[in-house]
Amino acid sequence: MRCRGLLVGLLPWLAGCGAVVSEPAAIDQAALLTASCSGCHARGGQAIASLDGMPATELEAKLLAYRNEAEGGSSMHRMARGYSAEQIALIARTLGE
Amino acid sequence: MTAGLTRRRLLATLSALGLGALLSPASQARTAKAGIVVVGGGFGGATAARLLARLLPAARITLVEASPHYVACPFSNLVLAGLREMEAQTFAYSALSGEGITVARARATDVDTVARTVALDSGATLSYDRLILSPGIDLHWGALEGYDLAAAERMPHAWKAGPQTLLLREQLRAMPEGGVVLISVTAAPFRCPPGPYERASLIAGYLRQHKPRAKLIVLDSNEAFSKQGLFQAAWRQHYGDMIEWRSASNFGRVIRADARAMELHTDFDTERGDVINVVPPQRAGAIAARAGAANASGWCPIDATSFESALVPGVHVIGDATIAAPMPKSAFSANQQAKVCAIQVARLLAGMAPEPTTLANTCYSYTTQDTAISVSGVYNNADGVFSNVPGAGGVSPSGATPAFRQREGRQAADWFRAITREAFL
Ligand SMILES: Cc1cc2nc3c(=O)[nH]c(=O)nc-3n(C[C@H](O)[C@H](O)[C@H](O)COP(=O)(O)OP(=O)(O)OC[C@H]3O[C@@H](n4cnc5c(N)ncnc54)[C@H](O)[C@@H]3O)c2cc1C
Repeated sequence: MRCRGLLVGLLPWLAGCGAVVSEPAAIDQAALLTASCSGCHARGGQAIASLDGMPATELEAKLLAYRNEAEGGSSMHRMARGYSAEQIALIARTLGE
Repeated sequence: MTAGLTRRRLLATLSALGLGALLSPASQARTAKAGIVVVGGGFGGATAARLLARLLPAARITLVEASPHYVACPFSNLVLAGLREMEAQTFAYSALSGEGITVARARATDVDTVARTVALDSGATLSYDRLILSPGIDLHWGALEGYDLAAAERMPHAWKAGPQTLLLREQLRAMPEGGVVLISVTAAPFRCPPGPYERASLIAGYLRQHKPRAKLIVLDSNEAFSKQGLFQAAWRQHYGDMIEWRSASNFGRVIRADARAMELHTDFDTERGDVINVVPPQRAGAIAARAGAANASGWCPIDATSFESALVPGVHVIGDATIAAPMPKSAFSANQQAKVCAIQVARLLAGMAPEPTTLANTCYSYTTQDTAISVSGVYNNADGVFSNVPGAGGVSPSGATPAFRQREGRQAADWFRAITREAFL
C-alpha cells in the first residue's frame, strides 16, 4: 500500500503521456481525511492510542465499532458517527499496516 | 506519519536516480520554484509549514514568527493553578529549521496582495505564490471600556500564554484568604470557548486547597457556554458553592473595567475583586486586516474547502483568525485546518482543484487536576461552507463514572503531547 502511494505521487505529471493515474497519495482524499487523526495519533508513540503496527482490518473494525455502538460516550464514539463506512475504510487503509 | 517520511525518502531516492526529470517542465516550474510564506508559528502555522515542506520538498517555504519560541495556551490553566510549569508550555522552532523551512524571526508588518509580497519589520520583503496566515488573535484593547495594556498589568487576561499567565498565578498566590476572584468573559466569538470555564474550575481547585473561604464569580457576557451542564455539575460536586456564574441577562455582562479601583461594572452594579481576570474582546491578529483578509467583524471569512480568503486571492487563513463556525477556535482545529489547507495549497500549485473532506475537533477541559470533560464535532467543508455532520459530535456523558472522567483527563494530556509533537518537536 505504502509503496503504491509513493509511486502514484509522481504519476499525475505523466497524465499527458496516457498513463493510468490517480491523484498523488499525499494530497488526495485519504490524506485530507486522515488530517483529523494525526493530531492525536501521530506515528511513533506519544499518542492517545498508538496506531503503530495496527493492521488495517483491525483499525477498520475498531472504527466501525465506535461508529455503531449507540451507547458509547467517548470522544472517538462521538466523532466516528460522523464518518461513512467508505470513509472509515479509506482511513483504515491509509493509517493501518 | 511514517508514510510521509517514507514517501519523502522515496522521492529523494527517485530524484537522486534522475527520475525527478519525469515531471513535466510546467509542473516542475509550478511546484518546485513555488514560494510559500506562512505567517505565525502557532498550532496552525507551524503545522502548515511542516506539512508543506514534506509535500513540496523543492518549494521555498518561509515561516515568519515574531517570537523566538512558542508558548502554548492549552494547559496554561494548569500553570495558573500551580500544577504545571511554563517550561512544559514552551517550544522552540529548531526542529522546523532542520526540515527545509526558513524560519524568519520577524514580525510581518504588511502584505501587498497584488505584488504578492510580505513586508517584515526586519526590513526584508518576501514574495509568495501562496500566503498562509495563522496569526491567532489580537486583544482588542479599548473595546471593553477601561481595559487597555496598562489595565492588563493589574487585571491580567492571561489569554495569550506567557508573562500574563505567571502574573495571574502570582496574584492568586498573593490573594488574602477569603478574597474574591472575578473572571469576566467577553461575548462570543473568542479563542477557546470552554477555556474560561476550565480556568474557573482549576482556580477553584487551587483555592479550595489553599484559601478555602475564597469566592470565585464568573461575570459572563453570554447566556450559555460550552459544556455548561457538565461544568456546572462538576463545580457543585467538587467546589460546592465556591463558583458563582452570572449570565449576561443575570447582570453578568461587564461593560467597564476600573483597574485602579479593581472593579468591574456590569449593566446593573459594580463588583470588586481581589484578583480580576478579564477575558477581553478579541479579533484576528492584525496582519490579517493589513492583508485585507478581515471583515468588519475583525475576523477572516474564508472558503471552507480551500481556506482561501473570501476577500483576497492567493491568501489562505487558518486557525483562530478565521470565521469557521461551527468549528471552534481551538488548537485542535488550527492544527487540522493547517493540514487540510497545506494539502489544498499543494493541489492548487499542481493545478488541481481543492477537494472537500470531513474534519473533526475535540476539546478537552479539566474540571479538577486529573478529571476532564470533552466536546467533539465533525464537519463537512463542501461548497466552501462548514457544516455540522448530523448525528455526530456532542459532549461527554453526564453522570459518567469518576474513572471515565479520569480517562478523559489522561487523554487530554496525551493529546497535548501528540499535537505539540506534530507541530513543533
Ligand atoms: C487558556 C486557554 C486554554 C486553551 N486550551 C485549549 C485546549 O485545551 N485545546 C485546544 O484545542 N485549544 C485550546 N486553546 C486555544 C488555542 O490556544 C488556540 O486555538 C490556538 O493557539 C490557535 O492557533 P493559531 O495558530 O490560530 O494561533 P496561535 O497559536 O496564537 O499562533 C499565532 C502565532 O502567530 C504569531 N504572529 C501573529 N502575528 C504575527 C505577525 N504579524 N508576524 C509574525 N508572527 C506573528 C504569534 O507570535 C503566534 O506565535 C486554549 C486557549 C487558551 C487561551
